[in-house]
Amino acid sequence: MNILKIDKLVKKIGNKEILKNVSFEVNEKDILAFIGANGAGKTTTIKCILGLQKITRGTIKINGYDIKKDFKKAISRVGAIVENPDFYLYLTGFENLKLYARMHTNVLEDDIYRVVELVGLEKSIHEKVSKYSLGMKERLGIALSLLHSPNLLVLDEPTNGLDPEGIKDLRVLLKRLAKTGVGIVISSHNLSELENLCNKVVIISNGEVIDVATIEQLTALDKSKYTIKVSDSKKCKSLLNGEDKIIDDEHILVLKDEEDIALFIKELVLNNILVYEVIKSNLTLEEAFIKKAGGKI
Amino acid sequence: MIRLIHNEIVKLINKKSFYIVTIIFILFCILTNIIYKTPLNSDVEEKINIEELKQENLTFDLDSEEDLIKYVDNLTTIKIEELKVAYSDTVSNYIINHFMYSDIYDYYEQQYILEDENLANDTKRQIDLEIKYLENHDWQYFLDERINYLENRVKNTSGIEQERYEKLLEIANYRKQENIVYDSNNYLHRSLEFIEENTYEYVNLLHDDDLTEEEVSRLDYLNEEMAIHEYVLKNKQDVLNEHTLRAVFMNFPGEFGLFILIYTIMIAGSIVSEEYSRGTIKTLLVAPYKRITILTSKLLTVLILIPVVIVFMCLFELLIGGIIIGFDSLSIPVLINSLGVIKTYSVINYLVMLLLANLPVYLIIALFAFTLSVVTTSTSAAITLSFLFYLMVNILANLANIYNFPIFKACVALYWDFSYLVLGIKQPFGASLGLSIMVLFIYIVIMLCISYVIFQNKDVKNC
Repeated sequence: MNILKIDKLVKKIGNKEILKNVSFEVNEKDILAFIGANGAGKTTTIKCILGLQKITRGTIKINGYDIKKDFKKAISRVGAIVENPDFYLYLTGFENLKLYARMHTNVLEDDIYRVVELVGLEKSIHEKVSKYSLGMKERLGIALSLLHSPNLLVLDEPTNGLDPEGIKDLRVLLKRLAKTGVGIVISSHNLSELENLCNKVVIISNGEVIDVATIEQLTALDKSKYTIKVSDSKKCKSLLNGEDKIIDDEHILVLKDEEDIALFIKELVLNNILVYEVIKSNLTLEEAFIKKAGGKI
Repeated sequence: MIRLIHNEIVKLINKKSFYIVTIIFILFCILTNIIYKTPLNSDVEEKINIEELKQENLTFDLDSEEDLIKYVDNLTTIKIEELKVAYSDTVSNYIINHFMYSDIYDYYEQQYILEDENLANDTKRQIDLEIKYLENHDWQYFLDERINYLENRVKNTSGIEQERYEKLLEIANYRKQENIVYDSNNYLHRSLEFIEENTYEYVNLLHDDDLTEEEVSRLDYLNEEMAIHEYVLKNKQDVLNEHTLRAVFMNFPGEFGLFILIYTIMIAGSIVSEEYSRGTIKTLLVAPYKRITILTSKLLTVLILIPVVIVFMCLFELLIGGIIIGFDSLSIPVLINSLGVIKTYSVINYLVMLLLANLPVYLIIALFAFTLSVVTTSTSAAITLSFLFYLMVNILANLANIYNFPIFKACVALYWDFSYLVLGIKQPFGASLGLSIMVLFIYIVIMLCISYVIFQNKDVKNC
């Protein structure tokens, strides 16, 4: 089911079009990586989704409700962190959560403890937020966004300020949430961070969506490139498939994942082809997209 | 909505600035009460240098009539001062000044100018007798003497003069009846003294059919003061005492108005803009409430907190003032002279009425700060400009009194203070009640429109 559906979103500030026909969808269990350089329009898109900025044209529907016309219903099951996680620094983490809990009708005090445990902030939840590190604030922000059990989670650059440990925890947490049916949008300027996490990628540049890729395309792109130096490349021809190709007399290029490459080498040897050298070059998602986007990113 | 208001209050009362202002207020409150408690020595008596007068007397030529009069004058003054040093309590001082001066002067006059030894001796005996009474603190003797004298005068005079003496006799009899000693620390004595001192002028003015403008206002003043002093004597309530907790409360808006203003502007000027500067506006706007609801909850918070803060300020003052000055005075009513009729209110009634009459001032300022807070999203701008606004409109109101430019008539400060209704005086700028309410209403509607329209359509900018 569609949780978030953005259709031809246009945002103008003055005469400048900040967003040009942005469209994408988030379904249940989706983790969507929203990738773009700084200033590409990520935050603006997110602010439009959340009703923080007015939409010039196009529609945004959350759980079937139009954010413009039916704001209260549309927003009621959305959790979000936009830009930095901002809090009332003079209150404790717990008090901040309590303020937010009070804004929702269905949040109990137990829910507060539940989300605090979820992000691992039990020890410092009763300290003033002014004493928190950026990473702790980020965790508190996630706790806050989860407080009212949303089914759409919008996280704007949530990995900023998180240490590697924190990023790992966040991945585990988000995967778990996605399994329960939550749709997640994560923006980042760095795709490699999200590679193992997301099942969908949207690339935005200068306010335009350049590409929307699904998990199948992702896994296809996730294969590594191997350049193999062999005794006779022509003999290999029958073993190659898909995008594999012969470079010259001695070199072939194959796209395989790690499991397959071992079997492939074994087969070469069994076919009496001598293998002198195997060079692996990782083709990251990012590189793939750079190529697709014609190097525009 | 109630949940949102609850949140706003939690956010506000946990703020440091709130506590800092409160601490400053408490210190200010303590100081104010101490100042009220301390009696001011307003009547600093001119110190007379006896030695100087004695030296001067040596230089006079006693054959010259002019010098002789000065000589007698000086002798009298010296004698009076010597007596006042010898009998230095306030009662004796009063008696010496008021009852013995003429006898002493007569004595020196008889001795040096009239040169009538017998008469002088008689007077001397009289003075010695008076000194004896003085020694025995027998002030009633002097009072009886005065009553005798006044009775005599009433019998032998007529018309205005008689009326004056009758009035003075009445006062003297009251003093005798109530046994009120000549002590300036006694408020009943002070009231008697005021009436005695002003009766002559008062009766004269009452009987004058052709008063100048100045005399009319003087008569108004005396009418009011006489009525109040007569009230004091009649009810034996020290309503004129300025060194009481009651007096602090009567002047509450004047003494602590600045702090009400600070609280008001601090709360209203930051309640929206701080969310923007802190970034928490995003969390707030992503909650399932319409923007109108969020802004209304903030506005209501301001409107609720202003009276609450004022009530707390009153309670602080009650506690601090009660400890420093004492609570006794609170049972004494407040007198308001309204169109020549004296009305009495209990202190609490009076205070509530006065604060209510002042409330529109703070409401307008609060709305102004609130609107600026929404429009500028800058707390410092909202707070500074609101203070400037307050100062400016007060200046404009005074200018409007002097110059008759129509634009000045739009100044809100001409209309927003209703305390004249409580004090029973005319509106200081001559505006009618209906006009005042209408102008305030227009101001309120304009400011509300601006804040709601802007808040509703404001994009949360990217940082």
